[in-house]
Amino acid sequence: MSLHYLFPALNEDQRMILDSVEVFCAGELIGRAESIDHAAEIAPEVLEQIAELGLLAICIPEEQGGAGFDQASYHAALIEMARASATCALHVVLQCSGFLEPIARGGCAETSVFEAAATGTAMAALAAFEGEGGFDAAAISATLTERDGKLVLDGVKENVVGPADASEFLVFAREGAGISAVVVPADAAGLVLGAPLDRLGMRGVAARSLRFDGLELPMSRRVGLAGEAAGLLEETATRLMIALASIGVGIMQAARDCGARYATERQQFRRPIADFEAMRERLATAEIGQAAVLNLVFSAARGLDEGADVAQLARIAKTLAGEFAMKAADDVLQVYGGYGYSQEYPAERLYRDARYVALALGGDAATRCAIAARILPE
Amino acid sequence: MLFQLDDALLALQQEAREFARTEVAPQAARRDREKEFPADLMTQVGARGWLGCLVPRSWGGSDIGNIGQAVVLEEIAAACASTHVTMSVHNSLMSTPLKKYASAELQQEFLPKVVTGEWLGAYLLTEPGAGSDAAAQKTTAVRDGDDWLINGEKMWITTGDMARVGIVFARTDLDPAARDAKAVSAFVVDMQSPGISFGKREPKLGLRGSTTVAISLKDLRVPGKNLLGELHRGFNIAMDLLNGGRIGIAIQGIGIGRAALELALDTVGGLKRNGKDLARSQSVQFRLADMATRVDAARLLAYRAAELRDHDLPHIKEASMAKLFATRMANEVCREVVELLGESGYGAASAAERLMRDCRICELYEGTTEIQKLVIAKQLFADRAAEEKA
Ligand SMILES: Cc1cc2nc3c(=O)[nH]c(=O)nc-3n(C[C@H](O)[C@H](O)[C@H](O)COP(=O)(O)OP(=O)(O)OC[C@H]3O[C@@H](n4cnc5c(N)ncnc54)[C@H](O)[C@@H]3O)c2cc1C
Repeated sequence: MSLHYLFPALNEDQRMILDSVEVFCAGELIGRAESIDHAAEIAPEVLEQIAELGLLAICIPEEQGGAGFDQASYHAALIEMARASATCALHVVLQCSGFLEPIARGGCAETSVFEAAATGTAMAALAAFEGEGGFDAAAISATLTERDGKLVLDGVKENVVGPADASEFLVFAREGAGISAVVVPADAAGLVLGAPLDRLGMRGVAARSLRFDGLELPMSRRVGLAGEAAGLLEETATRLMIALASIGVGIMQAARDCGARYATERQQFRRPIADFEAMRERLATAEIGQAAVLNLVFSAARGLDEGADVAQLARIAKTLAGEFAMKAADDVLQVYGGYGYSQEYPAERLYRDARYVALALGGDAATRCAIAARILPE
Repeated sequence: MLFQLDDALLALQQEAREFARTEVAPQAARRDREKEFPADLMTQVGARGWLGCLVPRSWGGSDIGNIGQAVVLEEIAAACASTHVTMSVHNSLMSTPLKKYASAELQQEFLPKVVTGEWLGAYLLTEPGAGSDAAAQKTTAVRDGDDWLINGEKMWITTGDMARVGIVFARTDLDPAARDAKAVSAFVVDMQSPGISFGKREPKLGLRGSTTVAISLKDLRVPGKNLLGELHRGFNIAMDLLNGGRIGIAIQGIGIGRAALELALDTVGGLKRNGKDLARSQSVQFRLADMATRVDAARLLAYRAAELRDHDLPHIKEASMAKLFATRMANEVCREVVELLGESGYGAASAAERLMRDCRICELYEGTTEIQKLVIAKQLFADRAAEEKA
């Protein structure tokens, strides 16, 4: 079992859920990855199965309505899923780390919102960041105001990534001098939804813009306290980064596995191309990258469970994952030669999906500068 | 040695740039989306002589040399990689060999229509089992009276199902002891002949306006006069053509990389990240500076190889170096630009993602990156041995 060696202390429940995730991903999902990518849609029956496995709220404490597993179990499941289909793993991440976790942590009086998303009966998306997806709270200009016992939302969010038919959005906005969060239903009056846009990769989720024109919400749709959600936003970003790093690990493992298989089967110059040192070096990238990032992910996951500040570790894991996943996918595509360019082989999809890891959540340069900020004297 | 285009080449560049801007670029996104072959454009570039860049004007070519060809094709590649490869394959692997290796009779029969683009060309070297090891041909050509009968399977043939003329490589020395590289011949083939059938168009990461097909040759009858060059010396022709073709693919990378850089320059001005204008970020400025430097360095390598080829001087290593460096840097640049533009760069509404998809082919065809390194390394040791001898 590929996952278990990481969890010597796995209990019976954890073992069971990870086994069923593995069976689903390796047995079923992997065969559907290509059609999910081509159709730019995760088929409803796949979404149902993901929900039935209990993955959407897997790491949320039981008292908050989740399955109560630790972060390591969540990330092990994500890696396994990303290995089969990176975009499905991203879907889970957007539901869990991007929506359910922050709502569970911040608290929301309208409990039906959480329940619907946790069971997969409603799809959700996070509309936090503005500009090009950077996640500096200072860059948020959408505003929330309390008026006549209602919350009023104004502003624009670009590149909101999530299911094309998301019915709830977790929106972060400026309220007075602070940041607040609210959950906005997709059918709210005053919400203008942009069309979901096609993308290079990760095609099971879409990007779209949201515009709020004096959108009114009941007070019960507030998440956390008025003006005090900046910490929640930062915490959410941290968790999303670790999750993206996990997706990077899954992509690298998938690249490693298919690349190694292909290099063994394909012959040129009367020998398997795996005999050529240049091919071995290319295959090694994926193995090095997945091992390095995997360990960072599990350190970060353990830290989260222990309540440590893992923001810096999350940035480092995400940066390394972004760089290595792209390099690994590139190297493995090259191993496939001309066949790497064909959509009938998996390498080109990994190449497209891998590009997302580095650019998500504000991009490489911004993350590196944030890493540096933490090591510079105050 | 002044590293600058002369007035004639500058004028040519201006003409190509204007043509690419008005005729080629506006269609590129649609061509990619609809997988639409640039048939209409081929007629237009044919009329300008750009399908016979090395062919004398008396034949209808433009005779602009390898540098002129590089100058024109960079502009096309920057606008649309699919249009570029259709032209590049036609020039380097059809017009040029007809001019360079074909008998007067074959030239008379094919060149006039090839140069105008009325008859498009294809190059049938690769087979399912003969990719990087291109000499390992399984396709055979056997004498039958005055004719040849050709049987075999070809893979990945650019423009294959849209071409009227093909250069087919096949084993003619069937002695198993014969060295692969000395057992192959090249033939000029009418692609509408009986015995040729096409597989489906390969679905690809990019380059979707160019068609790529498998071709099966079954008892394909080719007249004896259609042998190109000498018997059993076809592999030398294949390699010589690829030396020219590699400069063409280097130029493809340079054009695509330049387009990505220009897109980034056009776009960052309007983008903000974390409340800051991207164009004013040093991270962004330095990345752009690096990209521009690499694009220029690649172009200098490619021009050097082109000029050596124009003067019939040795250029095998130089052509491989140009392709190796240009195609690798171009892919890096495209990936960086998508990353730099963030979620918008990743979206299909931006050209960045198409450039990244199109560009990836450059490190694969006309010799993979590994094959270029093999060629260069071999030449390095040969040069060293020659020096020691001297
Ligand atoms: C879109 C497209 C268009 C094409 N158009 C044409 C065309 O018009 N005409 C034509 O004839 N062909 C064409 N090709 C074929 C192309 O030239 C081949 O795909 C290419 O030569 C590589 O061969 P292969 O795909 O069989 O890869 P392989 O040769 O199987 O290579 C697989 C991997 O092994 C590596 N490798 C192989 N040998 C060695 C070695 N000795 N040392 C180290 N590494 C090695 C390669 O670099 C590569 O990374 C096209 C291909 C594509 C994808």
